[in-house]
Amino acid sequence: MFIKKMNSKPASRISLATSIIMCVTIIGLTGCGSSETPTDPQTPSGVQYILTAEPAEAINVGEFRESAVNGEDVVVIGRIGGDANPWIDGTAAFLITDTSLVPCNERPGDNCKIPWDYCCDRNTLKDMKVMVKIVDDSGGVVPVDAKMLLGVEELQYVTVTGRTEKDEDGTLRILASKIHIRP
Amino acid sequence: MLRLKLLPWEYGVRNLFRRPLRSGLTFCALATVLLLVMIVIGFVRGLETSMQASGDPDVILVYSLGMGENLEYSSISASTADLLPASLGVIKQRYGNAYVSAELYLATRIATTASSETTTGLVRGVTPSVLPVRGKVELVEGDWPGPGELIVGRLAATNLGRDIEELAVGRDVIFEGRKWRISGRFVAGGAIHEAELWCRLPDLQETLKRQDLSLLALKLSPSNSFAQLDMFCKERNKLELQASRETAYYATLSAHYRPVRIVAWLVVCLIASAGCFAAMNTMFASVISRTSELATLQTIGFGRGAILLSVLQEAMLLSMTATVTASLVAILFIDGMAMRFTMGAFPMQIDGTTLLVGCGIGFLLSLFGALPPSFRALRKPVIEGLRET
Repeated sequence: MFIKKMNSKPASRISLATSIIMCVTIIGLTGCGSSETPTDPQTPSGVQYILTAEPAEAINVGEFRESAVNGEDVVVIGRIGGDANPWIDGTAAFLITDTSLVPCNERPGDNCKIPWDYCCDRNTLKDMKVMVKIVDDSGGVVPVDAKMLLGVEELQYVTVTGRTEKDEDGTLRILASKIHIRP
Repeated sequence: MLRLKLLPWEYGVRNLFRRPLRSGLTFCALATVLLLVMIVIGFVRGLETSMQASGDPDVILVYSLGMGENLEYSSISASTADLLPASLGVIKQRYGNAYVSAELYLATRIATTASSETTTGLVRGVTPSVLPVRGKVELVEGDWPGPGELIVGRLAATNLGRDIEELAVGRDVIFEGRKWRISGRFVAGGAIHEAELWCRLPDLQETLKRQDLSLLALKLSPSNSFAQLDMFCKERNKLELQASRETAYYATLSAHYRPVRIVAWLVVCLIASAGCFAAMNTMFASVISRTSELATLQTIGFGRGAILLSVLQEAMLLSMTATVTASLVAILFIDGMAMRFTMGAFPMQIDGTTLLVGCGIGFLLSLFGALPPSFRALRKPVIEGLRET
């Protein structure tokens, strides 16, 4: 008894028009997002630091740590990892480990969620990892996350070309000007 | 035009009192169900809030590499407390004193003089530097501990399963083979530190015959970032240090309690279901025994919609009254009650979220408890309804 007028033509036309307006509004609001051009997150912003060909005669991290001389030019190969978080936020710096170390996920039966921390090699890890800093032409560390700059991720094989920096207390780091990322 | 002739409000209220025993029992059942729901949610909220309050975004923890989840096993050199401020200019300083708190963390069996029974508790060896670093800590009774003394947190007695009088100022506790006098009591803004006993760092090191530390807690100066400290720790492999924000540390711990929270919400659903069936049972009985009455109401002009609303009104009155009662009991008797949990303690929290969820469940109980019996009664043709006695 209380719905007898709901099926009349003017009311149905008004309902249809209202529905169309609402749909258009919702679509319009959804489409009005950021005015920034969408970027492909897979495209690194630091292509000038990336080498297309893997440098020859790279030495492993363990060998580098044993023979490092301050100021020497080096080519070092390693795998990104060595800590639960091998990255330094806000800078293009990260840890790499000797390629002879086996991460947890490559050991049979190991379902470790963070295999790049090499928790199974804790005793030898400290002699098998080193910090890599990507530096620009002025020698300063690039203030961009390495993941964004280079498009790298944990456990990737990388070969870095750069200069050794060794402090008086023996702290080693590689100031890398170029990097090759193995696919 | 919509013309819905509603039944008088008093009709629904009188119907509740026509069967006072049944209505009273259902009220008690609903109130109990809702109180249990609020207790469980209060437990989860208390646990979550305790974890959130424990983490200060300005405090950085430096501890042994890989020992983030087991600080009692962390061991770093005591010289790290001087090395970090000397090597890095990122640590906050005031009048030449760095905001660095050297701490030794110990889980051990603790007894009181009132009872020789021991329970596992947490002891932290600290220096006065802990106060500027952990800004929420406040001494509310007594004095800072001297040699052989310690201060107890607000929830330490709950954590140890003791009466609060056993850990009053002036009493003694016993652990690691020696007696310690309680010199004061502290609060920490709801953080899990409130479940701990704090003594002087040199005293604890001497008792344990060790010179190392478990961790450093430090504050960075405003202009400096965590990245510099993180880089320092990660570069120096030989130190085997790890740095993390205290909030990130407690977020990791909180993640371990996710299964507990899931089980708690499952319990809430089960209890709420039980309440729903109790309400449904009462409303079924109420509606079916009045089939001819409802048919008569339809005969004299009241529509099915009006009758449905009246049945809903009855269920709503019963349920929301039970909700209010349960809420009052929860606020007056449950809120703030200390709960012992794994290696700490926290207060139950009957806050806005808890009450909102409780009231929401009360509303849904009335809805789902009233609708099925209403549909069942109103589906019957009027003629058949009038024939029933």
